[in-house]
Amino acid sequence: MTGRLPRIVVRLLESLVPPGLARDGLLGDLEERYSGLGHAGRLRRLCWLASELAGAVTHYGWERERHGRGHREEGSRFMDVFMQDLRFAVGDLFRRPAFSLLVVTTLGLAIGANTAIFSVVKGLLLDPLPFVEAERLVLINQRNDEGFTASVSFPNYRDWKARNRTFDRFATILPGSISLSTDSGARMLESAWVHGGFFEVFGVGARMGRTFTAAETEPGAQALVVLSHGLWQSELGGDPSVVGSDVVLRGEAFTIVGVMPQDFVLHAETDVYLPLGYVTDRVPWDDRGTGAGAEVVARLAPDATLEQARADLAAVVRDLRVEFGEQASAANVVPLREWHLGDVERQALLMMAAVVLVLLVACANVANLLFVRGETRRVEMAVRSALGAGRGRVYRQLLTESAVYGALGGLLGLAVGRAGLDVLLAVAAAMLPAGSAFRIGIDPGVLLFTAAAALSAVVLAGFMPAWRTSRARLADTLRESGSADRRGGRAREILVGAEVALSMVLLVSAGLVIASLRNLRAVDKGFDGADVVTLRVSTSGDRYGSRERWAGFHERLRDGVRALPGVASAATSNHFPLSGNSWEMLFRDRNTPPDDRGASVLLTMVSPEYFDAYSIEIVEGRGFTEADRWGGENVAIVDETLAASRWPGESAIGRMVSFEHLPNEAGEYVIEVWRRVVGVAGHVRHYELAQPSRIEVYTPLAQSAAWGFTSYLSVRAAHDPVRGEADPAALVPDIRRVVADLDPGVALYRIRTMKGVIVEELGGHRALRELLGVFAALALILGAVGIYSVVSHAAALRVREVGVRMALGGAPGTIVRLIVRDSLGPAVAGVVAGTLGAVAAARLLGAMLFEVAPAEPSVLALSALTLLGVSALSAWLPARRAARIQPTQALRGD
Amino acid sequence: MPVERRLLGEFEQMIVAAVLRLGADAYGVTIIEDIARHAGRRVRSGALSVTLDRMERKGLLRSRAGGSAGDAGDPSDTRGGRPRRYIELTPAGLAAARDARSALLAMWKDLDGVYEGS
Repeated sequence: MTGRLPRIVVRLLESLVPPGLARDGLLGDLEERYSGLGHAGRLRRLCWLASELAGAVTHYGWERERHGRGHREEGSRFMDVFMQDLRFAVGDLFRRPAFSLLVVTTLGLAIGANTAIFSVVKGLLLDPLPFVEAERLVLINQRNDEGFTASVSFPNYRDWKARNRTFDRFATILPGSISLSTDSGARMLESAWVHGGFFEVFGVGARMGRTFTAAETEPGAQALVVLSHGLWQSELGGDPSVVGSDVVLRGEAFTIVGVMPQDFVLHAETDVYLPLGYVTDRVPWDDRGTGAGAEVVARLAPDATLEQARADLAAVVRDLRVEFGEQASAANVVPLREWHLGDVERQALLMMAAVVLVLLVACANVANLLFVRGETRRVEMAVRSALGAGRGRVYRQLLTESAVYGALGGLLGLAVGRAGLDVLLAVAAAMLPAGSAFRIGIDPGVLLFTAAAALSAVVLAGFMPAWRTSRARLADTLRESGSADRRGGRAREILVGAEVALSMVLLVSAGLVIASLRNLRAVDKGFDGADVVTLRVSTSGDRYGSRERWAGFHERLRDGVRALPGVASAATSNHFPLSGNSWEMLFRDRNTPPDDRGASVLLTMVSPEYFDAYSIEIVEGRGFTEADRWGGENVAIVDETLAASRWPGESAIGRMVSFEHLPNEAGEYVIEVWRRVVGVAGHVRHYELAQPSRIEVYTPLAQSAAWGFTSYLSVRAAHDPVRGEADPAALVPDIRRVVADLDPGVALYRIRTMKGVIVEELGGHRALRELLGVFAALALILGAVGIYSVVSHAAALRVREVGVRMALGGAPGTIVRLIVRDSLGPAVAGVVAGTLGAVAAARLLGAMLFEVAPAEPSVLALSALTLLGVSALSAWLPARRAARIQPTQALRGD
Repeated sequence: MPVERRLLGEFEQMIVAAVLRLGADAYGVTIIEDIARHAGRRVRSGALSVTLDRMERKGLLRSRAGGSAGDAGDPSDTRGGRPRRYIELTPAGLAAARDARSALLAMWKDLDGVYEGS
């Protein structure tokens, strides 16, 4: 086999070597030698070719440099010039390694930050979700009259589904957890009970087997299950014959009808999909006033817009209101992507803005460096011009140099971005939607972006300096040599000012987020969970199929745990502060008129020690006791916010309130449960630290209308008498033993210390702070380098002036002060401009700030001082050096 | 053509020697092979070609086309239908070679013991 030279190699050489016998001879020789390598390996031949090519390019390139290009034909001239510029630029790169390293690193870091953040933005905001026409998918929940959103009640869902005219598909999903029995014991799974053509909404079919039909999810449904791809792999080893076999969930056999594809992810890693109709007798299927945690997913009809759908459902709700009153809550329609992202969209865009600022700082910096470089090369360029190189020619050469820096910076940026993305995903895990359908990574789109970022950097950073330097004229340059060039100086001052301004925006933003986090940490949560560990307790199955047995188990559980050494108190409840769960109820007060629309309240069902475990203050009346049980007087505790808003200036104790319903014989939830208020508790931040919760009511777990749900056990550890501190996590093995002794079939899971819960809650803010901090530090470093390079250059240009001043008796200190003062001008202007920008940017931060004013004086002052300090230091170092030169030396040396 | 009386560079000397040795068969590939064989030095075609150009401009050598193995379609063709650039020295080249050789030999004369012994 005799391989031919690749065409591109031939083309390249043809463009480089003048036509004639020399070219033919060379190409022929290469061809001959190349074909002679036929027996060698592919890699070796490639290496040989690369080496030969490099040799030819180098030698003919230098030859061209030396002898001009009079004999060039027009067609290959561009390539010729480009290759020459390229070679020259690469050579230049190595001639000034420190300068090149600085420029390439600056660009690489900034482009890398952009690449990493853009990967996230692209994955979250730009890439389509893996569903058919995902933009038509919406999620619907309820919005009560106070404007709070809550889960949808089943009767409302059914009426919306039946009466709307703008949706193609309409289904509901009730997320929860369910125990899976395996050979090695029970394991909790994430479950989703679905109703009404749930899979059709997404247009996704089963990977294997089938999904449910809408009819199969109606009340009285069979025990069927569709598995997620993940569970199929992890529990069933990807067995292709699982369809038709049974799995045991909550002690009952469910028949597997299908397995979903891998990329079908709606909620955080749902393991099993089950027909809601199977459990309609155990959920508030007919209770319009209770949102049992269900969400509606729906697909817009092809001709319907989001606005039309919202208007359509609003009209449906108006009709329902007439029939059913306030329980027919408004529908809150949210595009699926928006629901997935929530606040993350804002944060991601904010980060993108931050890294773009960093890139701009880097560009200004590189432009500065190139300017300064250009100054020192003005003589070289002027000489080249004088020798006949056109201005355009010189300009092109300088831009080629920038392009080489840009290309290398882009490559470095890609590497930095790749590594940065891994770090970012780890740091920002709390910020990103967990286990969702988003795919984040470096893909061709990201590569394109990186290339674009590098190109923009080249244009931004290289354009101006190249233009200026290429305009150098020999006579002017020689005449003005040794004195600062005013116009070039002005351009650089503007660049320094811009760098300082951009850095200021980043510093202030980071400062505000840090201040927010500090405030958030210090916020009065209304509870103290430092010594508490929480565990979820799953008591599913028939064994706890009655109120007595269910309540009895919880009582024995509390008694057993309380008896453990090191336990201060043990409580069970339906949720706990920051647990992410909530029960929303409609609250009524007997003394208010019947047309009172009530208020949505958070219902917390607790055992007596709950208030003690979380150190929640009882500000009036009493807490619950073991005597508050089913059959006794129905009592409630309200929180101080509710008491203050309902009965301002009066005592809440003794008021009759209601927020639950019990079913009548027909199973309709119509019997109102009235409770007497016996105590007022302090307000607790239940949903998130940044926001006061909705008003909260407490009932004794033992006498609540609801029972049988998956509860939480909260255990407060006692302080160790020796070490003085409590270690709640250390109690977990003992707690497990207590539970296993009571009933080995009860699963304990989602075990978290409250400290961990709070850290997680702060996580998003912390990730934001860390990222903004990193970017601000990057901008500060880049800015400092930029300021230093400009100021030191300016100082160097003023050496003659310094010499004159010193010869005339100027004190070195005065001269240093003069130079520092002159160079602070642009920095001060930058700080002023940056402050304005920062205040505007703080508005964008908006919801991410917590009890911090956008123009927080301390943050602004600290940022300004930092930047001015960096500027002054950057000026002082070279100024001091300049002032140390001997006057004679300064005057002599040009 | 006025010829600059100056000594040949090392690489130029190697080329001249190879051309003299190869005679009528001196062209790119054979010159490179000859230098590799005798001097153990790897030469790239581009470097050789540029140097040949330069020496030709100086009037040290001449080149002529010829002796391609055949046309582009010929299976025995290994050069893509391109001619060989045969090289022969001009009298000036020969003189320069002679000068360079005698200068170097003169320089090294009587030094055998010195560098061999060290």
